[in-house]
Amino acid sequence: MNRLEPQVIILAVNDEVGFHTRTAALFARTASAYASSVRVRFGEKPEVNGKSMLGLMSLGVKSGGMVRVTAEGGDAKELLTALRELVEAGFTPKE
Amino acid sequence: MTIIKGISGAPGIACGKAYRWDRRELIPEKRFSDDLRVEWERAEQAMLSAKKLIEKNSGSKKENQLIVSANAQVLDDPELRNRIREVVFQERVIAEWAVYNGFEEFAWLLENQGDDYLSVRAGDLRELSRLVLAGLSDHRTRPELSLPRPAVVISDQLSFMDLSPAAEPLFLGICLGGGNRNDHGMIMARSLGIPAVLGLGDRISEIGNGVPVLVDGDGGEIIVDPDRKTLKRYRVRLSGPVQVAERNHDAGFPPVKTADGVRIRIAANISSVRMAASARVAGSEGIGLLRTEFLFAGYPSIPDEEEQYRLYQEIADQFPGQEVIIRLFDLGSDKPVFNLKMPSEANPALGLRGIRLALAHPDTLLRPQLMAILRILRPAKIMIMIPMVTHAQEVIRCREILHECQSQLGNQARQSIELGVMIEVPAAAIVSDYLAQCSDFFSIGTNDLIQYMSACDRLNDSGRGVAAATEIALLRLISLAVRSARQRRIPVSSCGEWGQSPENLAKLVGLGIDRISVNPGFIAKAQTLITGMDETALRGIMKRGLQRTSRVNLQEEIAAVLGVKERT
Repeated sequence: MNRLEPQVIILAVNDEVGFHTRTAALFARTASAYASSVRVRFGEKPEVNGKSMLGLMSLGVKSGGMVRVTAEGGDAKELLTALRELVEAGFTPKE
Repeated sequence: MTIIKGISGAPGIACGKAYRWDRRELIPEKRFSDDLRVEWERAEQAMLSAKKLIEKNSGSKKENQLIVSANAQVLDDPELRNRIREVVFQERVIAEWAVYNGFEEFAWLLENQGDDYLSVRAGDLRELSRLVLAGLSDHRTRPELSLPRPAVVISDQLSFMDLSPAAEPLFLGICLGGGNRNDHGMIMARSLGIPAVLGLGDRISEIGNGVPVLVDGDGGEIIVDPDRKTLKRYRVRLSGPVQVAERNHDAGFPPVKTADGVRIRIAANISSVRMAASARVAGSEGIGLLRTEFLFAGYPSIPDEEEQYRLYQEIADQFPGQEVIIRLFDLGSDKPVFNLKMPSEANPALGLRGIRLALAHPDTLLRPQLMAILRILRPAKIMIMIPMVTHAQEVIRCREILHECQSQLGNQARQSIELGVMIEVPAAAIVSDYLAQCSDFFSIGTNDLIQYMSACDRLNDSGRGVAAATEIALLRLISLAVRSARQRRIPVSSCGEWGQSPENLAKLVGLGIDRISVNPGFIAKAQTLITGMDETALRGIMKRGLQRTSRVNLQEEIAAVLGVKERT
């Protein structure tokens, strides 16, 4: 499989409040550690940059909301794995 | 007497004189610019300065640090930065207009999600925008809230930045016209224990400066100019340390004595000029520890003699006639070292640091600092403290260099100055009888003494248990140093976080330490605690306690003595 093709995953934001300051900050910080670009879509709203906490917050994702995450670039797969782990661990970052 | 109803922002009761703080709104004008690159650079620079300011003002509370790091991250947000950049280059406008609009757009987006939580965050975003804009307006920095005395702050809004570690000790209570329970300012007020009422509306504008205001953070109302009956009703709940700070301030700070009349001096540990100011207002008796390495934190290279002299003098000016203990640069280990070339060390905490590092660079590090200190001729009594002393030779070498600096400066230098030793390495405590012969005073640095004594990293949580379990060893080391100091009749004080709990403060008093240096925020509380202590009883407890092998009983006895005093 070509590693440069966009990779997509769907995540359920199962935090109590959805994307708020802490969760959006952690999501954006995790994504920013990788070179690939990442876009997040929620419902009918325009896609936002997954490395921007303000962008993520402006999606208004409520608890349990499903988001579509698309990553593109050399380390897209690793990026998505890291995000999946973060979200599935209930946003407790690995120290 | 007027009662104004609002909602509770932070629990607790406070009473004090009103201090009105009107913040000017900064809405910039839309102006065009010819040099767009310069405008974008200005915007970037202002975002960076705001971020630095926020990080500088972060306290030590974990909850507050989360707020700080999230806000710092917003200032780095790629989309926000893109948008501001776009506005500059597409609308061909000045940085101010682009910053204001960039933040405003995101605030608007958050506000219009129909989500209460996100609307509050929009408010936080606008606070950040104000901070960046203040940095842009012709070098006019954001008006910082600096209270002249402990007071109840009356304002429309309050940002988390207003509750900086230097300012917050002077906050008795907070009354806001607007505000929200969940904005960052209120979260911080709760974690700092400052009673607050918000949503009071326009009626707060009628409150004059200096008028007594009672803040009922539990009931969510404030009472302006309360009558005797109301005060009496609240009096039982009004015994917090901040009220004592204000009472002491009004009484011109009477000397602090224990219940049985033993004089204890409470001084402050500080690391900035602003902290010096708040220490003075809180009634600090001089400075027990000036951490000079933090005073110049962020300097790319070692500050020169003139730069150092200016800041030291500014601090000395605030404490006429009182002792100001300046600690020589304590660099190395976990502290920054300016631009010095450091050897790579596997264990920097046990390596080239403190006076060892200074003596390794006498001309670049030690001499300029000594010269700067010697040039402070008035009005405080200046004393010099050497960090990380392990053996007497270090003190002797330091004194030789000090004398050389004195003769070099001639009559521009202070001719008599005390040179003391920080007792923070166990070896120093053990040979303190010898060290006392070559130094003019001791100050016990409990933080490092605990770490080196128990062989536990102080920044590492796993060592907490061991450090607590070895407390008897710590007390014996302290007592050794106190005894040596007593024999040579030199003063001995204590500085360090360990002494900042009621029990440990009592232990220090019981060990015979009569000068205690604490953070400015703990001064009022320490003064109150001391006033309630029975020195004779504590001495007895500690004398017996030092013979024990476990701290359990000691802890109980201390608690019992403190408890009895609280009830009477």
